[in-house]
Amino acid sequence: MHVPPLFRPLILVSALVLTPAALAHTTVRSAITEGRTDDNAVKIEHGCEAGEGQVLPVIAQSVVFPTQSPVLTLSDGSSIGDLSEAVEQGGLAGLMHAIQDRHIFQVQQDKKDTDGNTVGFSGHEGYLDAKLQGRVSFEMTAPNFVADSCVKRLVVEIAIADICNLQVPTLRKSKVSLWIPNNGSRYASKGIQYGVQGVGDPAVMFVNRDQSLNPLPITCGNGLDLTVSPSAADIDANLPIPDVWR
Amino acid sequence: MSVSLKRPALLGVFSLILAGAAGAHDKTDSLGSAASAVDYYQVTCSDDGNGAPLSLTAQVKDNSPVASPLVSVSVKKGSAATASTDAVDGDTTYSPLVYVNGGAGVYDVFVLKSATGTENYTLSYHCMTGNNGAGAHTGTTIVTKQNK
Repeated sequence: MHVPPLFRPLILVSALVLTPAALAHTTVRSAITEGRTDDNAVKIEHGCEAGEGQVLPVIAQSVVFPTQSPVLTLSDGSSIGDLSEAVEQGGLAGLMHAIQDRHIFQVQQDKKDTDGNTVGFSGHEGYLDAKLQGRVSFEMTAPNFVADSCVKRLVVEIAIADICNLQVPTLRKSKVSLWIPNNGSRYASKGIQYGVQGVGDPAVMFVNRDQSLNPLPITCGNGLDLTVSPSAADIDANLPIPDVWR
Repeated sequence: MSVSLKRPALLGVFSLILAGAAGAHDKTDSLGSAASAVDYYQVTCSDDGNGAPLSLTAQVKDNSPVASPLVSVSVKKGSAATASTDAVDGDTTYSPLVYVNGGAGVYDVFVLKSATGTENYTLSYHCMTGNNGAGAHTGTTIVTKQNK
């Protein structure tokens, strides 16, 4: 078809507008505030890209919170040595627990560290219709902010694998979405190599300081955000679902 | 009201179930042989919808087998601390109930013993909306910091 030159830019713009936007992320439903224990949920918005517009259903999921030597980044670029400088608990291990709910996954379990504290959870033997959204419930106790710290909010990055095919090799574009930081983990490296969606886009949960009960010191001004991200070693160690997927 | 011969048994079982279900936050574990063995926990008290916490209660039960060490629990938050010891090993009675009125946040809880020898124990801990352990049960989350 011959397109007059006058209309070619319009056609190009139209094509760009009509190109489907990137698929939405798997993320966390609600922000939480210190001093609270509440039910929350992982939101599964889409399955795994399989090319030509096809999306495959999620059949398993692995969720890892940053608990083992997490990477800490303050919003003003200053350094912080340890999470205990910002939160009284000193870490996030043990503050989350999966809630049994088998409407997606028939088998669920908490992931534990060597002290028996929960560091994440997983589900498998499941099926989430590719045309529907999913919610995976968990209970979360918000950590308490250290009174004299300048941190007003935690930006907690959570590594999540939405798994659509358990067959090896597992880390392929149509078999999994890896909502994980691009931090050199085996999962990040393989995910990038094989075009898996999500690397560099971890799920995020915000934890807010209760500034009415625990105000920022005056010298802090408006306060800082502290991003807490799982380390490469944490992801490599805890993202697998033992005997199911790795 | 007439009650058939079958109903008293059912009522008895139902009562047992209700008694066991009341606000259970228990941690069963053991202390190693060394006299210096201490298990260290952090309990976070929070509002789970039942109200803001004002206190944490704690008590410990020295479980079988019977051994010579006495098992104790101590609780600290800020500048307030308390402790409680189970005087009889292997029975069903806990140590006296103690509390710290520390409000919301993190309480340090230690389980320790008086001498050499392995000890099994059950720690009971609850965050309450009233001072001195009163009020309603609210958000209670335990994290193990040290397991000896």
